[in-house]
Amino acid sequence: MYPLKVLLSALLLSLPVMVLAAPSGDEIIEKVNAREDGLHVQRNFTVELTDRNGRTRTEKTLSYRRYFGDEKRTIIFYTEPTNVRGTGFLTFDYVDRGEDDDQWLYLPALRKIRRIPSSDRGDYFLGTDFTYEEIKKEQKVEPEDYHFVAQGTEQVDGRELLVVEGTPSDEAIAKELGVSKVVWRVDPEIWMSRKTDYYDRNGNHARTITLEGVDTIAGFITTTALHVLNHKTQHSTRITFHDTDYESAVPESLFTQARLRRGL
Amino acid sequence: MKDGNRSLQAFEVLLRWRWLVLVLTFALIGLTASSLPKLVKDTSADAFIGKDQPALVYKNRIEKTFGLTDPVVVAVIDRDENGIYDPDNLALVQRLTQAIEGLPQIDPERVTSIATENHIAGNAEGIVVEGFLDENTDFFTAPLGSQERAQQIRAALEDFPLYQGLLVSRDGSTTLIVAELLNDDLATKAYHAIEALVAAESLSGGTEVHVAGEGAVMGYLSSYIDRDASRLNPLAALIITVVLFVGFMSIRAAILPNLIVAGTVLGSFGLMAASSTPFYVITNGLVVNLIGIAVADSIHVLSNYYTQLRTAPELTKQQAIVRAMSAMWRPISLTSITTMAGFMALSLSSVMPPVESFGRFGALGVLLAWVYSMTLLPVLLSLWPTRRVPRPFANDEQGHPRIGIPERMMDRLGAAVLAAPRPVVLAGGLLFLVGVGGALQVQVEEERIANFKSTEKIHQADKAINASMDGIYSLDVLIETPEPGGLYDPEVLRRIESLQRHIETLPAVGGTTSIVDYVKQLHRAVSDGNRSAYTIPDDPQLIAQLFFLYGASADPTDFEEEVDYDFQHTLLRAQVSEGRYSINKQLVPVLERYVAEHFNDENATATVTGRVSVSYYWFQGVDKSTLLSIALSFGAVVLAAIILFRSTALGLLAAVPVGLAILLVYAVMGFAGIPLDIGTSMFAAIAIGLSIDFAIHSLDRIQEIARTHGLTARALQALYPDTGRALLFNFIAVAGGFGVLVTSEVPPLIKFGTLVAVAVSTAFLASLTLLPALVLLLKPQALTKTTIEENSHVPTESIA
Repeated sequence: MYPLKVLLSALLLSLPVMVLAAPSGDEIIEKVNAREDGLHVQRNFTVELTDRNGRTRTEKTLSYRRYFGDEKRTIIFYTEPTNVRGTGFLTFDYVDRGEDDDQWLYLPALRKIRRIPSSDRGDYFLGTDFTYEEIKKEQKVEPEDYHFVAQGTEQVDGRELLVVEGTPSDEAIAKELGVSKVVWRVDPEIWMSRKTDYYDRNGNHARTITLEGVDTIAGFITTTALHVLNHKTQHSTRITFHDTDYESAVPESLFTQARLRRGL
Repeated sequence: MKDGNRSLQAFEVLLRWRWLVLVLTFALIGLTASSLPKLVKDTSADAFIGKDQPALVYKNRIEKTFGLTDPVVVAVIDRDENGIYDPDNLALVQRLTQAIEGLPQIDPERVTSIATENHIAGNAEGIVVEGFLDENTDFFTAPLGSQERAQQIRAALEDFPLYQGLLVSRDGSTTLIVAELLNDDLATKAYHAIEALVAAESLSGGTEVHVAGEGAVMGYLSSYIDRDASRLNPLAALIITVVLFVGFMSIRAAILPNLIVAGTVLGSFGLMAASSTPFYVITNGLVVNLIGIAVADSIHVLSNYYTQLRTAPELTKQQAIVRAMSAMWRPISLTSITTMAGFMALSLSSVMPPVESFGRFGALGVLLAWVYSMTLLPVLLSLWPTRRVPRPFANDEQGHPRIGIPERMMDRLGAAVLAAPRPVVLAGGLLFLVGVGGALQVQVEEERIANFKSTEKIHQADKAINASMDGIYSLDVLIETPEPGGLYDPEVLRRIESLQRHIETLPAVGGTTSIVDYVKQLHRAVSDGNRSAYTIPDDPQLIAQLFFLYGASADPTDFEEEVDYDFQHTLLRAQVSEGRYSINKQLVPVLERYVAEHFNDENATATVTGRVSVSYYWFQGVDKSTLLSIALSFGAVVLAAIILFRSTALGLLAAVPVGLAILLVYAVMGFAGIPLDIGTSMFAAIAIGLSIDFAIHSLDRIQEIARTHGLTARALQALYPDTGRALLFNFIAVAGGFGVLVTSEVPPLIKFGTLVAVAVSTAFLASLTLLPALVLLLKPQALTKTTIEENSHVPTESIA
């Protein structure tokens, strides 16, 4: 924990939002990215997948995340469904964008760790409708990826939100992320987008991510429920976070292949 | 009072109130036609199956569960050494795939090709799930666009049993892009859009691109038949009008029957719309049919009317019309009732909604034609400004009836027949035997692609793809387990594997795919890529985790086609390279027996379904019901004739020309190798309806002659110049109308036209040769017996 940072962010939040001079797109995104998310966190998350016929599948996990400097390491253990209980993923996200992330998988029935190839940032995360990039950035946006333009404000559910439109900075990024345009609607109270629309490379409305629940836990503004609908497949995913804990110790030794093998 | 006088009076009343009748009939036409704009088309193949048929119910359920619709298939073929594995061809596949994904009729998530599918491989470190044509991959080291990469892709695919024969051909010459439609109704548009995309590509040497697939065939066939029929139906009407004009040399005779035809056709299709019955592909045939029937009624009325005018020049227009109607109402009513009986029997005996509706609206059309011929036609004739006797019916300078070429022809025919009835009957008997011989050779077969000429692109595409791939037609087995996760049971998976091996031994089956193939490929991938691990694991947990692993490595909807969300239901798909019924017959029942024996217990049940199964059941109905349907139609027509003539002997006599006509239709099919298929199975019933008219007109006139002049050869000669002439033009008009269909581009319409023309010709000739000859030999008492009730005929002219 960095008490100073917490204090600062709390201060920042308590300041009245300056609406006299409308902030630019870059300024809004800068504020979004300034949100603190803690050195480490432990939480359970539930993934609810729904197909186009309305059938639902639920997966439950226990996950840990910790920064090692700027490098972020995540370990996820599945607890449900029971036949995949103990299946684990260990991921090292490197800061250097040129370096591929490392990912390992442990299948308990096989008792073996398998390295799985790194994914494109625009690939779907573990069978959900979220992309790796979205999961990894936790409601933040890589500023170098887009040109941001502020588009005024929009009322959503009684809240005045700041609209920012982003277009990929170059063709390679557009291809990697699989988007032609993103529209964020940022709530200046929390500096998170409450509703984000993604357009695929053909310009079709591809997905909508909705922030369904947000809470302040240990001083951190924390997402508790996030929903994404894929408009093309009508497939949707809801992730709900439970028992988010920024305070209990998350030791560095947790993020190893040995620990992955030991399971829950 | 005599019946004949009653009918005279009835028609006098009708003409007295002619303006009212005119208003009423036009009101009826307007009323019945008013719903016409609401007429909806249903040209899908599935429309032929009753909605509650199990095969279709299952197919629809599968479409919903697995999101599968009939695909349009694009094949890229290159027969050189590298086959499709060169940078140009791979780039072409990628371009086409992306372009097809962008089409509004196509489900973008349901396009399958080398460009969309993942390679699943394993090495010592871990597993690799990545696209064959992805730019940066771990597995493929050579850069995309190089020949080396193409070779790596080839090696990977050849080591991937799942895709062999399905995505790429085993010889490397062909690869498919399979695009599923958002909705089957979009098939035609999708086919044309994909054709346009293909046409826009400039192909490098040796590469061919074909577009085919059930989705394409279905959509294309419907529009193909529709387009052709909408060109030919008016042409048929035109030909019939020309025949009328030539036959009668009268504008009246060319125009008035067309009004009756218009009233009949508008009314029938208006009521079809009003009853929310769709216009099916085969309904096209009903149009020509109704034209033929409505015209026949008019021809007989007009012929008699002109004869009345000639015979008694002192008669007023009105009097002549009343006499003609009084003479003709009975045979026209008789033919209408028997034809309706035939159509009703067709309707009642068919399990297929389009055929059922064909019969029902055919009968309705005959009824309308009868109503308008009995009311509107005499009224219009009376309102027509002139009473000129057209040249063919006029007397010559000596005051004798003019003998034109048609009269002379018919007269000679009559003389020949009546002079030698025995040889005529003998010839008829021989023809009957030949007919039986031919009919026995008819094959029962249905192959949708054969509905296209072999020069059609879609026909060639079908053949080319089926030759190199595992097959374009799909036969599915839906496997269901009692609870979620039931498919993790290795025992169930092994049974599915055995089922696959069994299906692969069946004829025309190129290959099969199921989740078992994925389980094995994944098992191998996590076992360092060892081929020995290409097996079903014994541990259900591991199976569950393999699926989980794949799900985690792929897109959220990647597995949708093969297995449902909670691993309770799965689809096994077999690729079949032949779409013929005779092949389907060796697949579906055999597979159903196997499935009943090996599945259907507390752990798993299995149901055979898919396009092949639907086609099988679709046509099985025809296979089984055709004979029954013909027997019923024929029986109904004969029964109606027996009742109407109040004589079994006469009813059976009327059946002779009809029976011979049907038999010869089948003989022509047998000798020419035209199979009994969905279209030809209806021809017999249609032919019965059209053929009976000739027999009844002929027999009715013979009865009339026999009552007044006895049953002698000399007396019967009177049949030929008037009734014979009318039947000749009836025949030429109907045969000409149907004959137009021979110029069609569409094989089923060509067959339809040819076979109905055969039937009508046979019925016409038999009614004027075999029938009088038989009458002369048998001299049935029913013909000469006169009773008060039955003497409904006023002699209309002196018998020569």
